Amino acid sequence: MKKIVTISLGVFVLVLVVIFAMWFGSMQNQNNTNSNINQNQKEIIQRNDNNLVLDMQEVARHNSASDCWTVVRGKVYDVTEFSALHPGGEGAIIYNCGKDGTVGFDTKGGKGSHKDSALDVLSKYLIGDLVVYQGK
Amino acid sequence: MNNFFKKNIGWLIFGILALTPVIRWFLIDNLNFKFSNISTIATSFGQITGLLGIILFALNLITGSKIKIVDKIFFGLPDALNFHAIIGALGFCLILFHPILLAVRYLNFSISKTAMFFVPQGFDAISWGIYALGIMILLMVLTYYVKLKYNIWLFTHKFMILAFALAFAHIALIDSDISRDLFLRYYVLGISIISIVVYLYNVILDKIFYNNLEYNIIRVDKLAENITQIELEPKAKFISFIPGQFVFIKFKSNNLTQEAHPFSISSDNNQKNLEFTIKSLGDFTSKISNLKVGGKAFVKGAFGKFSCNYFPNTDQIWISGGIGITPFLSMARSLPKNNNQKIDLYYCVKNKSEAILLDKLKEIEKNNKYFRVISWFSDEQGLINAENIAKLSDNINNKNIFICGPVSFMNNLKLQLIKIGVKNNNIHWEKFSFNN
Repeated sequence: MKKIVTISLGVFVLVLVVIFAMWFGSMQNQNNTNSNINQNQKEIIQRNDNNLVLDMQEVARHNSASDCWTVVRGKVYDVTEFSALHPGGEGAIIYNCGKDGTVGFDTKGGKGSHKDSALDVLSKYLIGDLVVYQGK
Repeated sequence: MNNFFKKNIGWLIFGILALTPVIRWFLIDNLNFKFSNISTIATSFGQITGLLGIILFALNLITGSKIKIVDKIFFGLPDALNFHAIIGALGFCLILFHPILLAVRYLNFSISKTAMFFVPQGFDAISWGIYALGIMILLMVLTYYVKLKYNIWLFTHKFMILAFALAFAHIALIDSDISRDLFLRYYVLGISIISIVVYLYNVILDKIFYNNLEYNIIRVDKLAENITQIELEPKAKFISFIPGQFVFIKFKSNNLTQEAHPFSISSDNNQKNLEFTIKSLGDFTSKISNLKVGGKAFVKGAFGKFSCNYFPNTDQIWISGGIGITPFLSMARSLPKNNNQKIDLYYCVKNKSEAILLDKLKEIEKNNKYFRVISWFSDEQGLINAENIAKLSDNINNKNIFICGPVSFMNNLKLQLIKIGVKNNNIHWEKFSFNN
């Protein structure tokens, strides 16, 4: 048993050391000020430049874990990156790729509700308002 | 009930308890999503290690509590404590891999986010988990790599409950499969609460309600340089026990530390007084000879299933190495006179001067024609082995064999006996992992 504990502890310490060493390394190299949020916004602007029509048809095209759009309360979000960071696990979001995820968001898949701060988090990934065709 | 179930039922029950939530986890969501790419696979294994880790931690607390029900479910407390040590170590390793595997998904994003995942941010769900892990690592390092005195180690080990309480806050608050799935939520939180209650019962209530019975020391005999025999008389209530069992004793003496230590009873179970024959093997037991007649002792028990009574009406072989003779003395003294159970007791010591209880055993032999004592002196005859025993006792493959003595003595004999065809389930031993 002692062997297994020693190996596990060794791996744990090694991984932490590597991660923190890489982090310090990356901090020293990071002189460009592009934050992730700015990059997100740039991408969103690019998408808008492409003259995309944000209707359900377009959303439905992005229906995989590697390209995941969803709709919450009439707004379209690209949650591809966020799904990995979702506190409730990736699975909860991936269900809603390419679909209207409003009900899933409001009810946490039938098991509760999100706090208001969750909408703020989501807003970082906003692409735009969903286009709904009247009469259809 | 055959010997296999008699001896392993505790491991089976607790094994099923540990694996149930993992099986449930595999059933709740579509597995394609959970194992679709490296990041989701790592996250999934991170969740499984966390889930199994916390359940093992909870079962570890339960099996580490010295309560009767654990003694009953397992093959005695020593067996439960073996389980306790194994799942404690396994659970700890799983919990170490839990954050590492969960951190993989952050690598997709940035190294700084990955690093920050390991840094507590205050008092949120993830931070509680980090604090719990920190305390666990510290306590496990003390357990495995620092040689502390038993009473000091025991004191530090009690802080495991703090690590568990923080881990409990972590699983209760975190948004995860445990919070989404009702079965998992009630199961994990339920077992965690039970384990906290059992732990607190053992540590606190036990002291308040005096589960320990009070005894007076009425005899302290130094049988040899390093062996002391003491006799305790109950002040009022007394414990009942099965021969072969042990109790925890706390001595009220200025010479000894106050924590409870386990000792095998060597007296007959038909009398109220308890007799113990104790060899000085460590810090605590070396001071036993300083005890004085008239001193007080608090006794808790009795525990253990290392007893001929659990295998009634079977012919048996008892093998003792050195001070391992004590439970057999109790068993021999308690044998019913009209029983036709054939028993051979091997009393293995270095030489005749060490065979301090031989006269008492010969006395019992005289009065019971089915009971035979075979003394074995290793200085003259060499170390006893399974072949010697097979020559001296007939039909050993169909007998229940009890071994008690130093760990290497028990390990060697057990392996040799299995080699010559004795079934593993017919060999009984009690591996004390407590320190004396």
